[in-house]
Amino acid sequence: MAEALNAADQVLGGDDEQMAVLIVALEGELGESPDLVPYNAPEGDIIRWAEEAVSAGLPGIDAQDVDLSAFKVRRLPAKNGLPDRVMVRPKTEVGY
Amino acid sequence: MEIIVVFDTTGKAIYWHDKDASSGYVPDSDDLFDVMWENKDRLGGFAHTHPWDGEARPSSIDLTTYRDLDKAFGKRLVWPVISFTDAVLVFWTKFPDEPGEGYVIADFDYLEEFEFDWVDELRRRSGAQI
Repeated sequence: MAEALNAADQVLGGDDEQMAVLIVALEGELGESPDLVPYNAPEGDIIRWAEEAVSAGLPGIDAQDVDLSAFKVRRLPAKNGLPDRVMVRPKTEVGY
Repeated sequence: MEIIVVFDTTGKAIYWHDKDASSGYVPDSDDLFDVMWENKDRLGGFAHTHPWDGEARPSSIDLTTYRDLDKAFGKRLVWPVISFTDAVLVFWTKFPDEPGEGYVIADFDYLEEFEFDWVDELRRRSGAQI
């Protein structure tokens, strides 16, 4: 028997999904989103959620429209009492 | 090999980075970002080499990296590019002769607040015969 997921579960992956705190490095701050995101979500989805979170405003970061498409997603497993986290940060590559 | 040196707001070297670097590319690095973030209050920027003789100019990859790092750190950082025979500064500013702002390329000694004493060492580590 199949059971339809509601919209939120389809986005978040259901009750068994490993969830993480979303952190965005911007304006010299690590802004933490109040909404959890799936730890193993595709990078493109995480970047989009980060842009939406910044647009809505994060602690220490003015609400603004930003293009984070060239930023990187870093997955940080739970450690030292901190929960699973996904950080959206700028790339550092140079060359060519 | 391309080498990066991270420096503080006076120009003093904080950290040397060449992890997985090649003759034309230094890939993205969590280690490099962590060092920059841990030092963000005193961070001045980072320099990298173009390990050959000739004009020093930023690539399009360099400029998108500078743009995103400036945005993330929330302040104007300075991005020297150094070949074996040339050196320039790259930074975001208001254009001197026209409206608007953007990245400019300036003489290496243009910003008096910085004193860079690691240029020979950077070139040597990059393979220059000094």
